[in-house]
Amino acid sequence: MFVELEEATRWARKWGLPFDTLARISASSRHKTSRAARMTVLECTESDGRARNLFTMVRHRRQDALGPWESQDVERWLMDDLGSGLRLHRLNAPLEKCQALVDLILDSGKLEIEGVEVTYALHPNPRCHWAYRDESPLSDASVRSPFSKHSAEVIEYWSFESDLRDRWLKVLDSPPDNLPTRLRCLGFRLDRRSDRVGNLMITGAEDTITCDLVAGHDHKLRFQVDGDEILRDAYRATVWASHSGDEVIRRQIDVTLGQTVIDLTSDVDSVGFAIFRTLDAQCIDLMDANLVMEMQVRGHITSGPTLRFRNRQGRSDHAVVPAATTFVTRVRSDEDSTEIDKGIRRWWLDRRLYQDEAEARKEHSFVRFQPDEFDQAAQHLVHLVRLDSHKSDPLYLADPYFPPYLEEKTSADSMLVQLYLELIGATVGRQLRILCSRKKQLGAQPWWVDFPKALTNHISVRTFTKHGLDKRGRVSPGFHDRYLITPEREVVITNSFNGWEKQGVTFITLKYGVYRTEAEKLWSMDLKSAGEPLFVEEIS
Amino acid sequence: MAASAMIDTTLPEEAKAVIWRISGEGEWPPNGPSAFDLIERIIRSYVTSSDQQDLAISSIRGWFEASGARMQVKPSVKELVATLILDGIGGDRSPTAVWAVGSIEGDLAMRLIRSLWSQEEVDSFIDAALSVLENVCHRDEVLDGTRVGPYAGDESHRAWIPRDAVRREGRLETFRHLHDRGFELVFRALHPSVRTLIGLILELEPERFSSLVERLDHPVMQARAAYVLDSTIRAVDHRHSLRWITESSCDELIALAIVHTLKTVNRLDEDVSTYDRLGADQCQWGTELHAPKHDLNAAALGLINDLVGRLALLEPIACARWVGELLADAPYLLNRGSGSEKPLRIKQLEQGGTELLVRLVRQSWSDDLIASMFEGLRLTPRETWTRHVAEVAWEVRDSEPEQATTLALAILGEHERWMADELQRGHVYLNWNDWHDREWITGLGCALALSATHVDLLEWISTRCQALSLSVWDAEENYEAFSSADRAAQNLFLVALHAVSALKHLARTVDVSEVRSLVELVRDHCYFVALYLGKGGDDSIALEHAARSVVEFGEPSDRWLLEQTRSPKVGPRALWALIDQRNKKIEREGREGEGIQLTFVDETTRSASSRFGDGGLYDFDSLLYWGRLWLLLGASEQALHTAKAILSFPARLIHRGVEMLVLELLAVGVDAQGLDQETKDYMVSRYRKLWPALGYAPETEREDRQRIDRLLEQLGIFTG
Repeated sequence: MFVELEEATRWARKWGLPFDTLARISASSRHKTSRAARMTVLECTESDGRARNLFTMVRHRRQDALGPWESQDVERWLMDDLGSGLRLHRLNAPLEKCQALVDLILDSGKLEIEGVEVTYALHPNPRCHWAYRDESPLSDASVRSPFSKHSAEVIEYWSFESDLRDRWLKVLDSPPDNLPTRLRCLGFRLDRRSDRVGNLMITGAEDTITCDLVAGHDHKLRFQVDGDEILRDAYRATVWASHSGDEVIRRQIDVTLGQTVIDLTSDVDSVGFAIFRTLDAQCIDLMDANLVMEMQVRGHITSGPTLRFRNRQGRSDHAVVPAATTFVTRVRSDEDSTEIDKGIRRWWLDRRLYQDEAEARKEHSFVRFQPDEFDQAAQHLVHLVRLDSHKSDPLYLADPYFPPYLEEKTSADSMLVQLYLELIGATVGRQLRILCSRKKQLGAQPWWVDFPKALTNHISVRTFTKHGLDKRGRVSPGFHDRYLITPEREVVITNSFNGWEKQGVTFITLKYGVYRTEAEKLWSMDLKSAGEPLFVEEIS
Repeated sequence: MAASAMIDTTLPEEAKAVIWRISGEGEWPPNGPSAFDLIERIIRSYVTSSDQQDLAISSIRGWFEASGARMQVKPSVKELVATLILDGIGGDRSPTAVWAVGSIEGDLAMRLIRSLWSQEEVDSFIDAALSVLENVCHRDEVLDGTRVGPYAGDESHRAWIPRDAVRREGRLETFRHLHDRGFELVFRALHPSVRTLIGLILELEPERFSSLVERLDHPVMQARAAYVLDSTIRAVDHRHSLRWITESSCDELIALAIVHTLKTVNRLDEDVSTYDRLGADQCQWGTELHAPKHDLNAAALGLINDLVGRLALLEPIACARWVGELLADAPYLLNRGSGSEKPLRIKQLEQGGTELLVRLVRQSWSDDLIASMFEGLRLTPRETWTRHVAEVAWEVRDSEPEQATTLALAILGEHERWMADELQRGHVYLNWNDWHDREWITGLGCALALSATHVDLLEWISTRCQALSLSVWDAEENYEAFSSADRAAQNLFLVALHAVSALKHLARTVDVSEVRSLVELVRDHCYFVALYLGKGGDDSIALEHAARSVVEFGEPSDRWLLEQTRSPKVGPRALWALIDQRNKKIEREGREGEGIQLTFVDETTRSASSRFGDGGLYDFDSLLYWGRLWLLLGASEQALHTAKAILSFPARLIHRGVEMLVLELLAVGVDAQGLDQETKDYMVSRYRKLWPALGYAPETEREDRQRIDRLLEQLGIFTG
């Protein structure tokens, strides 16, 4: 009987059975050769002196990939004090030793490093996933492979300690000097992925084979495979290339040691490949890269005049400084190849824009209306409002410039009145809460007060402004967002209603719930209270 | 004349007598009220009658005219005002009187002083002027910031030269800087009256130059004084600046002597060059020597040798420091040439300087002497200064072995310190086209060989490389640090490889297997880093040197060499270098039979070809080395493939050197393939593009052209 190692681990844990814990670290027993590992621990020291794990990473790879110069610091912890109570520990050791340390962490929740006891709060069940070295932002893997030439199998133990994450975010607000550079040693961009704070991650390079794809000047793709030996049909590869967004080739090829040459009949500006293990159809390597065709660097030097000598070491002692200088350096990777004609490129961008927008429209998550499409935009908004009519939760509509008075009528206003009437009609029986951040004029009444109460008594309009007046004696708005919150949707509206006719508008449906929370928070503020962060008035 | 007469008759005598006060106070640096602004105050102070005062004020103001924002004396009354100043001063030698003289234009002042003053009056004036200038130096008010660059016209700025910068740079570098690039400071930023006073002192009594330089402790004043004197005397005596160096000369005088002597060497060379190009009529001779009558080359060499000889007059510790500073600065002082080879004059100067240092080391060795020599040599932004120490150590290796070892260890210590600093900054660079860097590495190799009686090169390299950030983890975590570490490692490899050569010179035993292991280490390293730095690996100078070293010192068998051609870790550059060096060695030693050679070439060609394939996997630089290899092996088919592969790259990469290589590859390649008209036309057009003028080729290309001509003749292609 065959079971996945993680499954066996979970099962053994559940029943409290002893299990070869060393195996927990590696989901695969394919790694026959001796492997070298680097373990990095980023920890923070709390005010009570307790050291807590912010992130621990174990990377492992073939021993023979380390290079000709074996490091002198093998099996000895090295520490880098990053400041702000952060310390980064690093250990180079055989994989077995790191496995033992990981087991120690999983068993005891602690790891002692040179007299410092680092505490962990990990969920016992690991998550296994893959990290590819895919350059494309569209890759669906949550993290990039830490190995430049290989994708990686990842085992990740999660931590859900929110205070630790808050602590890390505070560090990022005012990071110690050079933090991103010094954090490179960690092997993971924790400064960009704060969801991973507190985790323990084990990544094994999928380095049985090494693959590379090179686009030559001779209209040929060369797929290069290196490795010790490959069983016949052990892997399959798909290679693709595109030019100006058009896929010019996609081909499945055998993975054999050495070079496979693929002829092209077109220029390419993007190439990629994916390797699949035949045994379980697992994708073990994926790369999609744009070929750089042209790069332009623009620099601007401005200097104040200083009468000082500048010596040859560059120390400034005397210099007659030139006026401001602008320079442009243009680097082309291939001047002679058929340049992507600007016109073609623009057509392609137009088409791409249309296709992307059409794609987005299909999912109703991104809908855009041009300036002359006010009516359609209004209909879309009403449609959105009606979508969740079966739910009784309040609707929130935020527009800092929501003009409920319309004292000076313009042609646009008649369209707005029409839109508001439709909105009122579409929301009868539910609560419509309108948030704006402009003060009403003294004594002004919304134009709909004359309407029958049955039509309008479900509408509440509140203004949110900052306390006091600014330097010019004006009221400052309390927010500047435009959105619609329905019971099941959160839609960002890019323009205020009164700007739709001139600028158009885009509706973007989000899944995060950020604005919903914010709308509820704003509405929960007490009216006319000096103790609240904003001054709130109800005007209708 | 009319204006002068008018002044003479209308201006009250009391007013005439205080004109010098107006000029003197108006010239007193730093910029205060101008002479024009002072007229009323001074006249009202010294002229008793109010009617006379008004008359004098309006009269004197009438002598001035606007020049930009300033009011200056009209040209028509300059001489009369100057006469009034000199008459008014009489025997007064106060600072105001000196500045008043300084306010007169130099030539005019000189003429009037010579006609109006006695020698005693001149002597007393020069003493007073020196005191006044000395005082200006102490107050650091020599420069007028409003006259320099971006501050011109802005009177709110003062200008000065930081003294610590001069100390740090060295006086020689400071004066060179002022000579080459200090035009604004030496010619414009000096207060005009300061300029005039310096000129007057040196015109009236040139023998005061030494004391002027000693007393006026300001580099711009000293540079100005040297310029004034040199420009008047050089035209009649090109060796005069040598005499500024005596046993008792101050540092500034020695530095000025070096700068002006070496600049005269440059002038002599320029004279030779102008004469050769344009003939005698077009020459503006820089000295009293004129070709073809005089031997300008010999004069230049004489100046260099005598300069070193003059420095030898100094006591040993000062001499060591000055020779050090001279060697450090010579590449900047002397004409640099345009090639990558060391210019002749620098070679001559370094030879003389090194010989003097060797003499000092042999005769006056002490810690202070070495410290002093290092202090002088360090005054350069290049780390390559240790090459001079290595030269000295190498020269004394037999006569003073202990001193040689001490110097060698000091050089290696400096190198380690430099490398640590540069790694910290990520600035480890080596430019093999620069002769400084090449000689530096050679010197370091010699130092390594001299540093101990037994040098374990493998251990030396391994210890240092293991301490560098050269693991795969470093490559992935910090590309910049990994790249810097690679450059540092390449530097160390080159040092070790040059040490092999030095050890052989020293007749020390270098184990053949040690050489091969060293070469394999270089090869493994380059192969590894190329994987992570995203480059072909063929830009490594160390790799080529390793290949050449193993052929020279590793006694490789043909079998070993053939194994190398099969190894994926040995790239085309190393392969080419192996075969090229092997050919050179055979040619030098003439030890191999033709049959053996042919067999080796066949085997090598077969083996390398199977790796080369169609060449499509290789980058541009690698293809060039493949091409050179095929030419060495005479592999025609591969040569043709390579030429085509090279031509598939963008045209901007195909410079003249590549054009010639491609032409040669095609000429070799089509021989076996047969020559069609299209290829023939193409080759003719390439040839015409390279050398359009009948019979002319730049000197550096003549050998290549002859070879190509022969090949094209064999193919029957017209080359005329």
